[in-house]
Amino acid sequence: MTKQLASNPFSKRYEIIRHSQLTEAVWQLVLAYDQKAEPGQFVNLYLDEADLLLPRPISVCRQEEGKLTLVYAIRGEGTRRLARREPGQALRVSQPLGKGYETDYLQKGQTALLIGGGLGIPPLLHLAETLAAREIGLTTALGYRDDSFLLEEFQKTGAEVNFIVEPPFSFAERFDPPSSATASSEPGTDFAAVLREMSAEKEAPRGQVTDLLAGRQWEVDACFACGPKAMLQKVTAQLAEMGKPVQVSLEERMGCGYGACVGCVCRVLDPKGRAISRKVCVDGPVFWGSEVIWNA
Amino acid sequence: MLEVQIAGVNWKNPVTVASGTFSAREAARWYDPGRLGALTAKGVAIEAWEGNPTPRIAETWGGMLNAVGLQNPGVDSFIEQELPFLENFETPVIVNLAGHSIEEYVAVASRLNETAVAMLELNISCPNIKEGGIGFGSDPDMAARVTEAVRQATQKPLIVKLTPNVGDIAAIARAVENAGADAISMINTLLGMKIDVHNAKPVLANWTGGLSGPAIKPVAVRMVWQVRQAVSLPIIGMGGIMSGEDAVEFLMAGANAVAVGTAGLLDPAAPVRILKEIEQFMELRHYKSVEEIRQTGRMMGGRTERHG
Ligand SMILES: Cc1cc2nc3c(=O)[nH]c(=O)nc-3n(C[C@H](O)[C@H](O)[C@H](O)COP(=O)(O)OP(=O)(O)OC[C@H]3O[C@@H](n4cnc5c(N)ncnc54)[C@H](O)[C@@H]3O)c2cc1C
Ligand SMILES: Cc1cc2nc3c(=O)[nH]c(=O)nc-3n(C[C@H](O)[C@H](O)[C@H](O)COP(=O)(O)O)c2cc1C
Ligand code: FES
Repeated sequence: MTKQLASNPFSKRYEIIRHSQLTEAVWQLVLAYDQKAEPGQFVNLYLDEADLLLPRPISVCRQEEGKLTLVYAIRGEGTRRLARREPGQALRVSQPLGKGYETDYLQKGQTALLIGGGLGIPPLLHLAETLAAREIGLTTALGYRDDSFLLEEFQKTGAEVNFIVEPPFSFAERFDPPSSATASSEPGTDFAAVLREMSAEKEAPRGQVTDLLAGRQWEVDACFACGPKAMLQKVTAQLAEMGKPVQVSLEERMGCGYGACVGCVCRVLDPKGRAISRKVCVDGPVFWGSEVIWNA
Repeated sequence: MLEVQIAGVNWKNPVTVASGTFSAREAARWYDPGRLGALTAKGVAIEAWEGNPTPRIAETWGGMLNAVGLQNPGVDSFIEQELPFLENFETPVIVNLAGHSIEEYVAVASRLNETAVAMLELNISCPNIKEGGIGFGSDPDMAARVTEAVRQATQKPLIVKLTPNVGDIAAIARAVENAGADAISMINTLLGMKIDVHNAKPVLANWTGGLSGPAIKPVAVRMVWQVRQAVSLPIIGMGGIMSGEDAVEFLMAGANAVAVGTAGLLDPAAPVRILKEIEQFMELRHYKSVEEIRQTGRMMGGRTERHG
């Protein structure tokens, strides 16, 4: 048979050009990377340490000539150790993986709504920059857990940037004195300072991205979303009520990231309405919200 | 110098892939699967199996846990959709059989008689299926019964894949040899579990899963060596092979060929890299054949069963 082998190996070591902190928990990693990624695709990062053999899938946040930007949050041991890797060092990174957002059907002059929650926001920047270059009008609805990031970059695409920050209910969780007995002796937490900081930020509207969406009738030609599963489910339902289909990007734990292990499945409806399994790593991560079976 | 013969089937080299960790369609994007000694497909049952809920994958020290639960499209769909692609490559195809009962195993094997598949691999060892899997593989009588039944249903060379989750692996190996197996492959995954202590719950939706990767290699090498003392069947050794030297370790323990599993998940081209490393090792140490490596292993000495 005729063999059409990929010209690039599956993974290679790429140099870290920049590695900086955007917020307390969110980092930006810039790699010297020569492969082209479509919006919504991801790459596997390999720590290649004996206790961390599995890939860390991270979405492509931005692509410039010879450069790839990823934005990730420290979640566990892998991302914690990733954050310690320094510019000049090399990191094993896969080729771009998965099926990204479908955008071919959009024409110049049409408009798109980009809906992101938390670490679902970074991949929307690559999408925004790609669509902006095609002169597609952009509106965002971004929901942050606490500190915002990448807002300036979204603004630079010419998008109408709407964002919202979760109400500080977590304030209570985080700073609630464990009990009145220990409260007075608990040093360290300067409640007044925390409150001052909060009010300084108060121009940011408080709520969830679904509150932003509910607030208005969106006159757009296409919707794209990325974020936690519960948010994507709600967003899909909200937009369905407005008669708008949406493409959503899902997350699942991955053994390989390229279609071999069948570890990363989700359930979707096929065109005949039957429930079938799909691999998030190769059939996704992007699916139409309407085809996803949310509570499978 | 690399050729081996496994149960009458010629392999151009001793490296295949471990069932369930390989997709020819995906692998073919990075290398020609025809370069491998054989291609082993993932477990297939008589009907489609949905597999387990997610999360199915967890990371552990030096390896991983999986609880895929033998998700497969059923043998008819396999023959129609996947087999033609696997048969594109100039190398023998091994199909791995899954079943909940002897009748189901027999049914898949019979169905595959109509195909050009070169060898069958009877998986009596998957730890994820409650009714079958572990029951067959952990009891010598059950292992013999299922082997015998499938033996009668097919003319194709029959490999029986052993589970390490047993007390006396040599007893199982002898049982399947007597029941008519043509070869043994080993080991399948070790049953394991991981708990997310911050959320106080198991990481896998199935709670338990199969441990694979470099963490299990010493166990696998020991078991291959034990089984080599017990039976004269060809052995396909696997469990944590990450490099050519790892593969040679299995050959010296008594395996006739090796399979690469988890390493291929971490880099799809690992099986061909490992093949090249075996060749390099043979050049370095002046081995003229794979058989010679195995013979060297036999000369390591006649240590009888001792512990520690
Ligand atoms: C397609 C895709 C794109 C992603 N894009 C981003 C992104 O742009 N930015 C970002 O911050 N995060 C992203 N994630 C989530 C990111 O992969 C995890 O946060 C990260 O793997 C956690 O690794 P850890 O070692 O810190 O955590 P640990 O919990 O120690 O990791 C243990 C294992 O679980 C896996 N794992 C843990 N959490 C997740 C998760 N949420 N999704 C998938 N696997 C997980 C790890 O990969 C690892 O194999 C994405 C996930 C997927 C599937
Ligand atoms: C994701 C995954 C799926 C597997 N599926 C099967 C299977 O369908 N049938 C089978 O006999 N073994 C299956 N196995 C076991 C492997 O074939 C192999 O025996 C085991 O992983 C040890 O080798 P390794 O450490 O090189 O991975 C699977 C292993 C993994 C990691
Ligand atoms: S992660 Fe292995 S198939 Fe998707």
